[in-house]
Amino acid sequence: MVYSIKTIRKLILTTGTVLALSLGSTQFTAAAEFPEKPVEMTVLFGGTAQTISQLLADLMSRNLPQSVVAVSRTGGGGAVGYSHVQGTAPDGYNIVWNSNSVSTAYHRGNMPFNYEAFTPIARISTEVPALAVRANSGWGSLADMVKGVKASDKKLKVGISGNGSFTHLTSAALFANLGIADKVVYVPYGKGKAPVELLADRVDVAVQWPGQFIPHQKSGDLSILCVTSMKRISVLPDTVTCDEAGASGLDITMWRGLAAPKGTPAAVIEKLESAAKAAIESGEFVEASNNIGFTIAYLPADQFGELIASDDAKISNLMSDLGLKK
Amino acid sequence: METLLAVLPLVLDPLTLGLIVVGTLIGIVFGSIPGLTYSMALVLVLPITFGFDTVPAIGMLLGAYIGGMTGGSVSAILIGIPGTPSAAATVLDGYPLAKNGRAGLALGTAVVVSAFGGLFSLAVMIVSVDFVARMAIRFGPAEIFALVLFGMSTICGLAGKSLLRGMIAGTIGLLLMTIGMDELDGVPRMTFGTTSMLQGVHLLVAMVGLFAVPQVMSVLVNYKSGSQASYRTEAVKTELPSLRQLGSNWSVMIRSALIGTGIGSIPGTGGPVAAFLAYDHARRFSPDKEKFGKGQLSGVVAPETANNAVTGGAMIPLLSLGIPGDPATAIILGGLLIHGLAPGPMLFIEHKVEVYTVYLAIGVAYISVVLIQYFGIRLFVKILRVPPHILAVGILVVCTIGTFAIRNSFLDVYVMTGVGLIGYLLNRFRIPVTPIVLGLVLGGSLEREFRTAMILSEGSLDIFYTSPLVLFFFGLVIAVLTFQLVGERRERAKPKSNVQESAHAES
Amino acid sequence: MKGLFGDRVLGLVLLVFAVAWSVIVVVTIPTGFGDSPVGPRGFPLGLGVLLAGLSGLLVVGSFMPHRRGTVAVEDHEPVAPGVEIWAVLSTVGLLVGYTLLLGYTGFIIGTTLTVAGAVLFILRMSSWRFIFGMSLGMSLGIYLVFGKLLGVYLPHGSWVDLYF
Repeated sequence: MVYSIKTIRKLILTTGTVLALSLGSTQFTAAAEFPEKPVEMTVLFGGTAQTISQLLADLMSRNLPQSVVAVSRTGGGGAVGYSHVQGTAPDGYNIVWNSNSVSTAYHRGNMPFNYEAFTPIARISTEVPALAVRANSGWGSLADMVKGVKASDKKLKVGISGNGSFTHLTSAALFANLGIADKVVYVPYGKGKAPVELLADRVDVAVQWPGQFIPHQKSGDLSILCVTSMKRISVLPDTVTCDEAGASGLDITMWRGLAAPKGTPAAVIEKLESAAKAAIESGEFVEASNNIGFTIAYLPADQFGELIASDDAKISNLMSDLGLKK
Repeated sequence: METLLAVLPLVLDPLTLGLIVVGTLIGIVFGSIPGLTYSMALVLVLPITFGFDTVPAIGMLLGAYIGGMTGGSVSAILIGIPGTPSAAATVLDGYPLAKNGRAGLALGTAVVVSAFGGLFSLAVMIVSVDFVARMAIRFGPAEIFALVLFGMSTICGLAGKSLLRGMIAGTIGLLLMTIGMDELDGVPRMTFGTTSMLQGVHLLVAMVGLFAVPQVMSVLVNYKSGSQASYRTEAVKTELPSLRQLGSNWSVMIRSALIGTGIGSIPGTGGPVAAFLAYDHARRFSPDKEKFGKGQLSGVVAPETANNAVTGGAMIPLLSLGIPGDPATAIILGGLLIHGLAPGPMLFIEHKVEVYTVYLAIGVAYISVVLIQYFGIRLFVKILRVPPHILAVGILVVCTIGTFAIRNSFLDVYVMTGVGLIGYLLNRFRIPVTPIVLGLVLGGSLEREFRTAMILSEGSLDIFYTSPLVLFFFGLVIAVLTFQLVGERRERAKPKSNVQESAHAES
Repeated sequence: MKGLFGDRVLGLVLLVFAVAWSVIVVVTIPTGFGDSPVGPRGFPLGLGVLLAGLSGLLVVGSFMPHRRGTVAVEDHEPVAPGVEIWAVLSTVGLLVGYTLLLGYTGFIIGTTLTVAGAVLFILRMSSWRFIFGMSLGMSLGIYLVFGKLLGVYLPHGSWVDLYF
């Protein structure tokens, strides 16, 4: 490593100048136009949540003078990332790619603050859990399954993502609605393994995301009995809702969206909101939603806030019924 | 065959070819930096692929995955710090080889056998994807638990002469992995009420700490006391292994490749287990058992063949069932999905062209790995000319950045420091470090699979003795343990002069 | 602290740790929910007990030298304890100091200062040319290659954030 004195002197000079500038510039941040530097989007989970966030960040960057960077802070069922963002300055440079996990992490007792610590920016998408059985199980409908379970003295084994996860809460609500809650055993699998466990005949039912089931339904190995939202979903237009299939009134949907720490100026939120809107209206995002299997569901900040609040109450009730609430 | 010919021009298109090579290069760089792994390379490459067509995009992702898998051996051999968990077993003999001035040979061998392992598993995948996928499905929680327990039993081979010390080390590794949020029930464990501790001890963070921190400490000790390590010879040559050297290892290579492909195809186990099992089996069945851990070439051949054979193995459940085996393949799954390829049984019928693209891209990626590394080794070995104390400062900086970048968490850097300090102290009391790594690597799956199996069986232990596969692996565990205990007893009975060597098994 | 005495000290320290660990596990981790026969407590507790047992064996073994082979083996070259403590403290101090600096001043400044400090105060090299070259070379080099070219996320500072 040989450096000429000249180069080094130049480097020091540059460093000094840049340092002085960056120190000086922080004084004027408030007055200048947002955003002046890259916006950090904290991502709480790996897998498809991360893939979608990277695409969204990429597309949002095109509609803002600065880039949006997806930064992964996983762990604690989202609690680690929420805590990071909640602890940053409310200036719009730190936002979180959030979901219903803000409610589950809080009610589980893993986070000392709830959704009210954040200002909503926009809802981006929704995903609806689906229930599937093996095609050779002889259960052609949800009613068949309920009948089968009631007739048998064995318990129904249900593959889910983890105790206290969204798929667990969904299943619990569904089976309570069907009146067979006491005949169900939940088997938690991480990392999307539940569909294979269903294929391998180790569980009787799996409640997971449609994208995981669709290829196996096409090949004729699994059949999806219902989806848990009130309306049918675009990737499975022919699959009935659980409400139609006998679990009347059941309406459970997971959303994903963006939020910033509470106290972020309204003008900043507005900018991010419109950048997000433009991003999800682009052809690429629409295509990705079809391929990955989520539904684009834009909601502006105010309506998104109402939804978060009402879902939080719903999840709180569900979790206390399950004995998961702390 | 026609499909293959139809796909050939797609993959050999200059853009695709270029992207595979670039992906491979990025993978190698990430793989060789401790803390940065192929998972991160994939995360960073993924957005780049958004703008490309399906074929070049998949090629680039696979390149990064494969490059990353092979890159881990570079730092494992040169500086004794594995770049990825899969390369942890490579340190055992690769680093002593470098100390003996054979870094070029070790690196060259690692590259060649990596490519062999990767291409072997690719061939298995092409020929028998259906069969292997059906076999993999038979591995439920109970079977995987038994397999992981078998992996844990390789502690015997890594513990040097004292099983007790190895088991203490392994238990400490397992304990560390229980800290943080419990994956199955979502409750905090040993977090003392803090949110930041919920993230737990990340495998990579602890591993970097265990290898890098003690090494920096002992370099400083040598520096202060004036005894500079003298092993770094001036002229490190780039040697590729001779055919004779490879020839004498061919059976180790084939067996390791089979181990790697098999384990890779079972979701949720992966590279590190395959590498440790392959290393252990190579040592156990070698006539020169005593030479292992001191720079035996087979000790590099076995883990490097196996961990790259995992790549092809892992593609099987990923493509045919849509099940990612680890975080890295989960990102590849994301990349496939976003380009409209939904893995599953129908993929092989509806998207035959793309499937063959995957096959060819893997092949091309391994060829570029060999080419890049062949020229790269000349550059890599230059690092050995840097004086150790200067290198130590560099290692600290790079490991800090690498550790931080995994989850962008400063806490992780402190955890790395703490685990490293504990590792150093334990090593001073002759507790070997490698079994701690094994505990870290296997701890998560050991607990998760056991508990899931118990839920499946509704609390009955029946599930562990009604499956032939479970019994098979349990049998292997018992055999290995008996072997070790009998050996230890015999060792004690020997006259004292033999004992002197024994404590050096762990470097 | 070698051989039998070392085993005894290590065994006792690990034993105390394992017992403390197990007690904390029992006090703070619930047994589980509904369907889990082995809850979140099972493994940490079982491992704590196992570690206690193994370290107990180590202590017991140290009182039975005739049963053990490796009594008088030195596995490290003798080192002055002062030097070793210095090396351990320097490494830990460097890592902790570096991490704190990164949090306050971001990657470039933090790395430059840490590397310069390490070369100057720990390695005691006094060539200013070298100190400048190495510290700036390393921070800017990593910044350009990893931060800019490969897009790795490098730490930002909370006081000063030097990015360009």
